Amino acid sequence: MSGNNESGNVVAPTLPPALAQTERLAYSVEEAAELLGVHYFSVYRMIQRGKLRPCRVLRGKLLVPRSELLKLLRVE
Amino acid sequence: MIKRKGQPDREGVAPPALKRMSDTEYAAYFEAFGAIKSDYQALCLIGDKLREVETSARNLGPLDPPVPNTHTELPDSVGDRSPWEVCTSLMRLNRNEVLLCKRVCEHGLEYAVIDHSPVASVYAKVHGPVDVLRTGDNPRQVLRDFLRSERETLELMTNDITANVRLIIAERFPKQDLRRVANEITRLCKKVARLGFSESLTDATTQAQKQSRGMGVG
Repeated sequence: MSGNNESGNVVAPTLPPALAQTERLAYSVEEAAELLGVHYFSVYRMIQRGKLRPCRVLRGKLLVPRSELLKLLRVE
Repeated sequence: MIKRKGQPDREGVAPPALKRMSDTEYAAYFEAFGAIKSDYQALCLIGDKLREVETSARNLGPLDPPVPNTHTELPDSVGDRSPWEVCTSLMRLNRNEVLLCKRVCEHGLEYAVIDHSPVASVYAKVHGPVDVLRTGDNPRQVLRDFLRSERETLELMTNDITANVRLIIAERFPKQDLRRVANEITRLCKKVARLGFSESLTDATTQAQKQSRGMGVG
């Protein structure tokens, strides 16, 4: 995003419980959208724009690594 | 009503257009399509909305007055830039709304396509609700670039859906050659996601300038 809060203001996010507690390594696009609180087409946009780096599992299905979500939310 | 032939039914499971389907292929088709039904419907919806945006962009009148009651301002906290003024809503997808906005900058007017997320979302709490997708001083070019980018995003989504189809078929019908089924569903998804915009927008510029109706950006 080239909009808000990009001027060095690091906001401490409140992680959704599912993301804070889970042992899962990756999420589907729909699950990632649910965790971020946005529509899943917005998550596809983030992937398309390089803001989120997905991994591809068997047969090409996209998964969003947990580490990428945490990076996006500036936890890591 | 579900038929074995005909056009895809957006509300229900799309009937197969394959000839001489075996019982296994028929079962696999409905199993896989049932699993991605909501994704397929979303694909249809987004494709339809983007085609509407394309039509609106063709009718874009640069001298039109702004649409009344749409002067919502979106703050931009980067530096001392002025806030975005909403010209029009391009599409709404549940929680998110894509907006065409403008603001005054030192060189004149700046236009942007913005993905506006819910203020209370986890994403917005970190990045703010305003996600600027495209900017420029020419609203038609901004929309054109946005639509081109959306086409690529639609392709990404389509590929993800069809990958899911192949996964489902492989899991539920192991060791069977059901490529025809996967290919048919892929064809249907690509068909509804196909967009014919962008290239024709430049040609439409002259015509749009002659018209006084359409999307107003002030």
